[in-house]
Amino acid sequence: MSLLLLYFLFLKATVTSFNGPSSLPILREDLVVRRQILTDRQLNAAVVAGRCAPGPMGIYVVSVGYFIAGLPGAFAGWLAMITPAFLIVPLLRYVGNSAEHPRVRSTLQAVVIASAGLILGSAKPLAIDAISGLLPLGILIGSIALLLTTKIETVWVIGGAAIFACLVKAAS
Amino acid sequence: MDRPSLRQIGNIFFRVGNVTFGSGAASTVLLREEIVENRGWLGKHQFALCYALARVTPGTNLYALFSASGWYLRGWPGAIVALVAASLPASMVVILLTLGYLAIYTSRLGQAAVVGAMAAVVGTIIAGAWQLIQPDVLSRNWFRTLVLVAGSMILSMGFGVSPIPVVGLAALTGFFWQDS
Repeated sequence: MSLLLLYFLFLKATVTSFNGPSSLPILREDLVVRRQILTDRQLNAAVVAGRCAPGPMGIYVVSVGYFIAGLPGAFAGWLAMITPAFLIVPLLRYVGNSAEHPRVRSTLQAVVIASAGLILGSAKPLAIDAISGLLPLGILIGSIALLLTTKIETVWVIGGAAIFACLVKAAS
Repeated sequence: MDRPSLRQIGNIFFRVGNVTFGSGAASTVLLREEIVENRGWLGKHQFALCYALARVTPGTNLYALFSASGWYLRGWPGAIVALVAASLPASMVVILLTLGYLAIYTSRLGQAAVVGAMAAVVGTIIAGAWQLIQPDVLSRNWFRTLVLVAGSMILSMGFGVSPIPVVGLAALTGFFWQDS
């Protein structure tokens, strides 16, 4: 696959989402389901890398790019991640005052809410791949509980889960 | 208002963009402190406009905020420097983490670590989705929220509709069915 095409596939996902993880369903459909150049396991690993790194959640596309085409692929992912951010400049110049219009706000809010449904939908195949026994199931439930009831950063939850799984494996 | 150099912009956005994990909220607060409160490079109204527009800009909202702030400070070069300084180092960390995954995945303990991390990350995705909709589920708009979430899940999982038409349909719904 050419880098330009890869860039446009990434861009299609990033430019049609309004927060980091909502690009996940689109990327999965294009790269895992349709073109089969990425596996669910690699996509899951990319999300792990993105969540453990500094910066916003959408940064996982860099890792997806690396899995597909090495450093040039990572560059394509990075470029597609930051490209939509430049759209704000013409917005600042021409439509700055309508951002708070109730109909615009309502439209964007609906997109964010629907994105949550799509994210949950895309989590299902990742869960099927990742939850292979009682231990991962326990970690899944524990991580959801921790994230919803405490203010622990996701990076510590993921790191703690990795260490916990290692300890259990070493003890068995 | 002082006009900062591109090097100064790079320094600030490097710090703001590469020290926080998983959420834009902390970076937003830090950026406001640095360029509005501490240095006076940007006025409060300008920053508020950048923030509001970043929310409606496609892609990662935080990077849109960085781009807008950089553009106010030094035009297009400021926007580019701000974005590159904020995103490139973190992207390199992502590549290193990916390499780390590839290196450890063949060992027994490495595989266990990856299995644990992947289970947790599915948890973070589910929790993140809930956190996105939680304020709307618990508000007067709960029915509209339920329709949008259930609708998008049914369309994507049940009927295999690709995400972009689902998002488009949600936008139309939001346009005509405003929150109360």
